[in-house]
Amino acid sequence: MSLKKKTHKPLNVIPKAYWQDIANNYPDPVCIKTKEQDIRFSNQAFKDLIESSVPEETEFSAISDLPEDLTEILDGPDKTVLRHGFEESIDGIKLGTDEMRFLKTRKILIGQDHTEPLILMILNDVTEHMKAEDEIIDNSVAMERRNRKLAQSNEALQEFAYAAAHDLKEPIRGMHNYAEFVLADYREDLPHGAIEYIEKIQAMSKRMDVMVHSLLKYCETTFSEEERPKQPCNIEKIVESAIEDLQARIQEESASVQIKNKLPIIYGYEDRIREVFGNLILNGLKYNESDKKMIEIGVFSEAGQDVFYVKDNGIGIAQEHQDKVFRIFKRLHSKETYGGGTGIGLAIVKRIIEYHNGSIWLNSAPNMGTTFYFTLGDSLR
Amino acid sequence: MSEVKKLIMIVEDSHHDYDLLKRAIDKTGFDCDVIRFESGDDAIAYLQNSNNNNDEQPQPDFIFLDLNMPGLDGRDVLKKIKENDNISKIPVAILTSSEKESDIEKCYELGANTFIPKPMGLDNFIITVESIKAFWFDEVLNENSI
Repeated sequence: MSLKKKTHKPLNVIPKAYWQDIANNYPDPVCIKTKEQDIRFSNQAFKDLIESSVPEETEFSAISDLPEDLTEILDGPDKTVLRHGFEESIDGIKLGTDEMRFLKTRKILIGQDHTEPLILMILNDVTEHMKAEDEIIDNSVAMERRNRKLAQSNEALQEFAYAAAHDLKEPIRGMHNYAEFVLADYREDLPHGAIEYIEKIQAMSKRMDVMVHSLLKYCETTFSEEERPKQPCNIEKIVESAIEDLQARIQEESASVQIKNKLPIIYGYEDRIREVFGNLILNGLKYNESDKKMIEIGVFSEAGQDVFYVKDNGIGIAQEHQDKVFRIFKRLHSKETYGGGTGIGLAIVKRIIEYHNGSIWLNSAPNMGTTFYFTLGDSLR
Repeated sequence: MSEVKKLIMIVEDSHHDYDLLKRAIDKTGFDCDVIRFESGDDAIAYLQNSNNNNDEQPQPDFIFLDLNMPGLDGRDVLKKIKENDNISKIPVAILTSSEKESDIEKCYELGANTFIPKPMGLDNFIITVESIKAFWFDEVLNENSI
C-alpha cells in the first residue's frame, strides 16, 4: 500500500496516545495553553526547555517562575492570536548560560475547550539561522563594498590610461610639426644627412601617433563597461557590411572573401562584432602571400554553441607564437613587412569577444593558413 | 566678388598647431587675414565686442577653435558663440586631437559647423583647409548653393 493511501485514513481514528508520541518526538518545544497562561499540554522538548531555564534552587510551577526573558515570551499578551488566529515573533533571550539565543514563537488558535480559547505555541531556536543570515548579509555587504571599490579603481585606471594616451598625442604631434617646419624653412641650409635624420624623426613620430591612437582605442574597448543593453545582431548582415568596408582593399588584392553558410542572429553589440570580423578579415588579407588570397567565414554548432570561424590561406602562425598573437602590441613580424600594423587588432578582438562572454582560439601552421574560431555567448536563432 | 579680405580667427593655445594651420592656410593661397588668440577667454572677450562696422574689432568670417585649452575650453567658447545672436552665425570648425565619439557629438550638439581631427603633417591639413575654403568661401560654390 502506498503512503498516499495510508494517509487517507481519517486522522481522528489515531489514538490519543499516538499524538502524545508525535508531540514528544517533535524536536521543538510545543505547548497548548489557555489565555490565562494555564499550560494544558506540553511536549518533551518544551519540558526540557523549561527545565534548563529554571534556576536550580527553584521548582517550576508556573510560567512566572521562569527567567524574565522567557516569561515574557510565554506569558506575553495573546491579543493578536486571539483576534487573528495566528501570531509570530522572534525574541532574543538568555537561557542558562550567558549566550544570547533567539527564539521564534508561533502562536496558533486551535479551537475551544468548552468556551475557552486554546493557543498552540511552537518555539523554535533560530539562533543558528539568524547567525547564518547575518553572515550572509555581512558577506554580501562586504562583497558589494569590494565591487564598488573595484569599479572605482577600474574607472580611475580607465581615466588615467585615456588621459595619458591623449596627452601623449600633443607632444608627438609637436615633434612631427617642428620637424616639418625645420624642413620647410631650412631645407636648403641643411646637409643631406641632416634632412634624412629629420625625416626619420617625422616617420617615427608618425608611427608613435598611430600606436597611441591604437592604445586609446584599446582603452576604450577594454574599459568601457558596456552599459547599453545587448541587441539582437544579424551576424550575416554585420559580416556583409564588414566586407563592404574592406571592399577597396579586397578588390585591389583581387582576394576572395566568402560567407560559407547562413549566419545566425545573436545578442550582442553590433558595432563591436563588426570590428571583430573586420579585424580578422583584414588580418587574413594582410598576412597573406598567396597568389589568390581566400578568406572564408562561417559558423558551426558545437556543444549547443555557435562557433564562428574566419579562415584564410595566409602565411600561418607557428605553434610557439600562437598564444602570443592576442597580446597588446605583440607583432610577429618586423614593422616593415605586412603593412606594419601596430599589433593591437587581435588584442581588441579578444577583449570584445570576452565581454560577449565568448572565447577565441585558432588553428594554424606556417604556410597552411590560419583559422580563427570564436564564440559570442548565448545565441538565439 | 567682395573686395573685403576675409578674416579668419584661430583660437589655439599650442604654438605648433597654430603654426601648422597658418602654414596650411598660406599654402592654399587663401587671401585672408588671420587673427590668433591663445585662450578661450581672450577670444570671447574679442568676439563679444566685435562689430562689422568697427574697423578696430571686426567680426571674423570663420573660426577655428581648439577643443582642449586651459581656462575657457573649446566647448565653453563654442557655447558662448552660439548663444550670442550677434556672433552665432559665424561658422566654427572644432580642432581636436580627440576622436572620441562623445566629444564629436557634444560639439555638434553645441552648434559646431564642422569637426577637424588635428592631422599629422602639413599635407593633410592643406586638404582640410582647402575643402573648408571651397565650402564656405569660394564664389562659385556659394552662388550655386544660394
